Amino acid sequence: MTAPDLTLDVRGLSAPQPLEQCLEALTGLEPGQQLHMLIDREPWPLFNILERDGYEYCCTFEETHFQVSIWHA
Amino acid sequence: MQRALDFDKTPALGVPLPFLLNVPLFALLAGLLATWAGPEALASRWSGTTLALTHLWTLGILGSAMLGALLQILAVACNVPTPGIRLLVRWVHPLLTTGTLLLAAGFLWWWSTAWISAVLFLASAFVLYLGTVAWGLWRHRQHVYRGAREILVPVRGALASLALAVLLGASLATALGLSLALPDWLGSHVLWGLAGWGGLLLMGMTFQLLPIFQVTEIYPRPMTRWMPLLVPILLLAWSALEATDGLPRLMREAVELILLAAYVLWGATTLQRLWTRKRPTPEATTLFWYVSMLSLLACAPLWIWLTHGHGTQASLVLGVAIIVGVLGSAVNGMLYKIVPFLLWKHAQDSISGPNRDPAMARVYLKVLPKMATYIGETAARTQWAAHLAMTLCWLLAAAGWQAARHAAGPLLIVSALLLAFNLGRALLRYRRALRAVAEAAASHARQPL
Repeated sequence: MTAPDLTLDVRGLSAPQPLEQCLEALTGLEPGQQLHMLIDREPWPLFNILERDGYEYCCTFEETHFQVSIWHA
Repeated sequence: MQRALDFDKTPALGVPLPFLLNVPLFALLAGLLATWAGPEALASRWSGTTLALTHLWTLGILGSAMLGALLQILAVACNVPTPGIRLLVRWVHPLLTTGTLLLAAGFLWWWSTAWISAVLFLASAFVLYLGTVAWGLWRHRQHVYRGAREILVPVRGALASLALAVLLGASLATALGLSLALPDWLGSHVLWGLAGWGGLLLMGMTFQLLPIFQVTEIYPRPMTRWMPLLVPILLLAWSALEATDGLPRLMREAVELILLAAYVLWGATTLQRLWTRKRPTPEATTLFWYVSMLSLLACAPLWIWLTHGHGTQASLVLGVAIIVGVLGSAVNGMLYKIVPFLLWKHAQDSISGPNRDPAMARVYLKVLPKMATYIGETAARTQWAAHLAMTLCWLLAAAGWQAARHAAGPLLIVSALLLAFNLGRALLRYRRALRAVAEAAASHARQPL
């Protein structure tokens, strides 16, 4: 059975705290599980790290913030 | 337009760091000079000691920090890497540092050899810096990030202002060194240096960095679009009026008033943005921004005192409010964001590699400090309190209060030492982090498969 998805709300945090918290959360992400990060800005630096480290992601704008969903490739 | 930074474009640590570390060193030197000179240090804007102190502040503290930070910002916020950046820093940093020391010596001992040497060193530093950065801006003009175009206008204006301030300053120092009659453009030199270079660069940085690092609302679009164009136009008008005989002083004052109103509007908007930021607890950097912007608002009554009052100290108080209060506070506060951020970023880079092992990533996360731990909040707030006390004391000293004139130098020394201690400790933590990463990697490699 796949572990339930994780949600990480980093809205209101200044750079680079969202990145720090996301990297920490990713260390516990299991295959098949997704991490949903809610963030004020589109996290471009994170996308480069995700691509480098073998994750897939999808970023959508949700009226007031962005949601980035991340999972193992 | 939302604000974003591309951290992968961060230049090597050796690029901005030498400039940033000049800040506590020159602050310490200025504090020692003010202490040594005693009450004479801020007696008149025309005294040799005051002029030496002014240039230790503007070139040694503010100039160094702004030149270093700009190289970083151009790369990460605008996608404008500076060509030959390592070589540039290797030349510009020592030229700027030595030139500033020589200029201060020239003012202190009214020494023509020092003035002429200072002109040679500083002119070389600025020609190299401005030429290379301008070349980078031109070469990468097609690749600038869309969201960064608005800050590039104030940055270009700031760089052009710096070129003019340097040109005017160099000709003034040359005239001093060769015992020639001083050209009548001191006002323009001061205005292009402070309102042009200092003000425009700070304005551009707030447009870009405040929303990211202070989590504020972005600035109103008309302000980000028109203000950076209005300021250089007003400065040009002011200089033209200064150079023209026979025109009423009222016209120049009208231009000054509009310029002041523009900056006060920006300062009030910044304060409003900081006050309504998403994070309710202010960090040390936020407190420095408050001091900076409140000092800017204080310039309005000080300007009225200068233009319509009879006090001889008004110009000195206004100068201290701008140099120490507005620009000094912003630079000091930004160090608490820029330095820990750079150290954190370069420590992160030290563990980067394709397809990191998740187990190893967990180990690295344990040994690598978080950005907030490089400089503790209490330590930063303590230095902020010292900086605030020093700023108020320098303002009172400039206004003529004798007790403040005695305390101004020692308070700057205290603030500079605390800043040096905080930055030094952050560097030590960075070195320890790199060592811990190397040890963790070695221990991981020794584990049996």
